Amino acid sequence: MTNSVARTNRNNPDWLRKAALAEAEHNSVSVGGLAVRLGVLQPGEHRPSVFAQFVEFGRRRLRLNLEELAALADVDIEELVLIERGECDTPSARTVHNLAQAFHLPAGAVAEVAGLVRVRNKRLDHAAYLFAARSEPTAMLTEEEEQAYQEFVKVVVESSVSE
Amino acid sequence: MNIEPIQIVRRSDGILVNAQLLSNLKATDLLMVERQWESSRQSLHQRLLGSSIDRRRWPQSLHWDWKSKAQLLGQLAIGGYGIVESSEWQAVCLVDCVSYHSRLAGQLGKPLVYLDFIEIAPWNWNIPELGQNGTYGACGMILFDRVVERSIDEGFRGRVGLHALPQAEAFYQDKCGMTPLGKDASKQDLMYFERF
Repeated sequence: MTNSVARTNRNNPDWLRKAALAEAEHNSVSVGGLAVRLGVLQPGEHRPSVFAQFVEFGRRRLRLNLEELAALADVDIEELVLIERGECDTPSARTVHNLAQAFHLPAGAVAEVAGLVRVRNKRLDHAAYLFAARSEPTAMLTEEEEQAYQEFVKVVVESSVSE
Repeated sequence: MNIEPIQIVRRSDGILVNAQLLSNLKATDLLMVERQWESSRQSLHQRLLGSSIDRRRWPQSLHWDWKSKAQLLGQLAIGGYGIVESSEWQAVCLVDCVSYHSRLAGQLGKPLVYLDFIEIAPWNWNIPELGQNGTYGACGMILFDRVVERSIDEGFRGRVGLHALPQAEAFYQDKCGMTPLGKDASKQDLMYFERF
């Protein structure tokens, strides 16, 4: 598409068809100015759900389905489903604590990942973003996903030790 | 309200369909438009919930709710444009011609038209995983074209700025020829774009 604009652009059938094709190649034309100004765009909204991905990876790594993880961690299955689908904005502290134990990870750091406590560790925050960006929703962890999970867990553990 | 006859593209067969480009929309008109789009948004949300589509690929403006912001919208002195076809709003944008200035080298500090909001109707969204290709196309580009024209009319020589949602960054850079000027911490790290 040309950068120049003429008043006759939108009167040109060829331009219109190209414009339609251009839009079809992209998922969105949305901008966020007004949404940010009025508080409609929530902080972190456009970032992947890190905790959802983290729990899913942890479960798949243990070769468990949702029901089995719920039983192992002694957490509510419905809440667990919502967590993995990224629809649980505030998981219960008990659930987060129990999941941390099931995954053999420090509860404090997992609570930061879950958003229950303010993120104090910038390295953990950045690592969380990178981790979520490298994941793919398949049944078994690929080698790359396993590596991503291990790298993220390393930061989770180290951030807990450094507190 | 100024009404300009235009055409938009019906995606199913590529036919150009008559529509209207309306000017002088107010911020509060967004509430009226959203009322028309609400059920379609909710329907899409339900379909996405029932699908295996990764949430990161969901439209990032899917659950924006303006109803609770009516009073704030009423205080904003911004105007905009919209596209109507068969009495249905197909796309809307809101612009601010006063508050923002260029950050581009060579244009620093000069006034520009800031694209505060732009959205196409949910039934026009392209979500191939749901088998939805969108009913009408070119609506977003027509509005952007009109915004650039507004900038020229205001004497701003085509200067336009906006903060794109991540899913729209490639659209504004590749298809609208805008220049990314970095993530803006004052706007929740959204990427800021300008064109001149």
